[in-house]
Amino acid sequence: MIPHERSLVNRLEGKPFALIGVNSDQDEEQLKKDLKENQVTWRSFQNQRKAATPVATEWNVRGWPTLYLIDHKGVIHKKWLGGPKNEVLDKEVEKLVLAAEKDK
Amino acid sequence: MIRLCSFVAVCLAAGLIALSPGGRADDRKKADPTKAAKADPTKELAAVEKDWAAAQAAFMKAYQEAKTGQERKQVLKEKRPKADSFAERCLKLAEAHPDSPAAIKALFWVLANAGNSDASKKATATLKDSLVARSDLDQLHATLSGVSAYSLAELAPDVAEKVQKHLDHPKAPALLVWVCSATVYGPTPALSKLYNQTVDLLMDKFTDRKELLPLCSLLAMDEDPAWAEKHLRTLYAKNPNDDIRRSAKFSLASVLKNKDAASQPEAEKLFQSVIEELGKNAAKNPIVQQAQAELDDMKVRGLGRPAPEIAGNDLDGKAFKLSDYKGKVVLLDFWGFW
Repeated sequence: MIPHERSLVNRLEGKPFALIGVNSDQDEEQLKKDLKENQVTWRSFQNQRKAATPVATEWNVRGWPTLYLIDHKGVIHKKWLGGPKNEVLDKEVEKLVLAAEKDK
Repeated sequence: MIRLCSFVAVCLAAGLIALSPGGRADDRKKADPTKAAKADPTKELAAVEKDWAAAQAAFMKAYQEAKTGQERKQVLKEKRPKADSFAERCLKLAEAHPDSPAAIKALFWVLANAGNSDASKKATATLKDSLVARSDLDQLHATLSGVSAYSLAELAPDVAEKVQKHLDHPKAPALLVWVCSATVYGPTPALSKLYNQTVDLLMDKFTDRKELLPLCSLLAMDEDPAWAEKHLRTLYAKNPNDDIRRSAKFSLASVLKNKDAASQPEAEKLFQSVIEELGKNAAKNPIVQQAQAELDDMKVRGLGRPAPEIAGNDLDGKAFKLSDYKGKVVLLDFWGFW
């Protein structure tokens, strides 16, 4: 997943698009190393929260990865369990980015 | 086919943590091939399995005792038991007792535990020759049913080819369903193609058979939802078996739930119908509970609904909100390295 996500983020730089993660790694030290090693530049929520239930629990996530595609108006457009094919993901994302740009 | 990705990683991590520690493996039980050849093959196979379990338990213990992520990675890298010597013992016993049922089981063990090795190549070749080529469909069905099909994917092409020559045999649909279970995760493009072709064949020739039940759950998570939807609709409409129709209905609802906003009413109707079909008294039935959970989830996070707010900290500890990104398309990705 990560190499493709990285290329998606790079390709859509400057466009109305953001990849937001919800990260469920527990070992902070190891995570920092992995983030650097894999050049993960996008922002993630920590799944574990002090004052609230974990994000994944709140969102009923039962398997990883789970992806939600949300349009520029904040409406949930699509959901994938287990990761879609790269070309399917690209097509859906680009369709919505185009619509966001037209709406500007 | 179904894409596994990190779904597997999660299961693996969970499995490692959930399993209880056991005794350390010892190295003194080195295999003696001459002894193995003379021994009772069933007993010898049991001994291999026991030694392997002990090696696994020692590894689990080391993994649990590791304190940091770095240490855990090290344990995974260095202490994970290698199946090679165990696989070698299995191959020897299969060679010494080719006609024993234990030989087949030993070769299955090799494929399940030492995949992608020289031993597994040998085991695959032997099984193709001694099991698939020599058995009739009844024997093949008896041997393969109840065995985890996933690790036997390499046998699937031979099984499929054999069955296709005898499509009128009563066990043909069950064996083709076995081929689907074996190839649903690929793992090669050729096997993925075989999976799709076999599902298509079953749906073409055996739409009304009760053996098709496992297809419903296989199709629910397919990476080509449009194809899965087509077949699930057919099973739901045409299969005379109540269990299959209900399972197809549930899977179809799951596929539609993640398809698009326009499909939400139909998905809702189908989940509702699953609940009604099983009756109000079945509140504790896991299928009813799951259908209800899906309906509840759709009301809050269904496609076409506004994404609920998320507020939390980023990985640097800085607070932020999902709504900070309004005006942008957001791909929200629940992920981890584990």
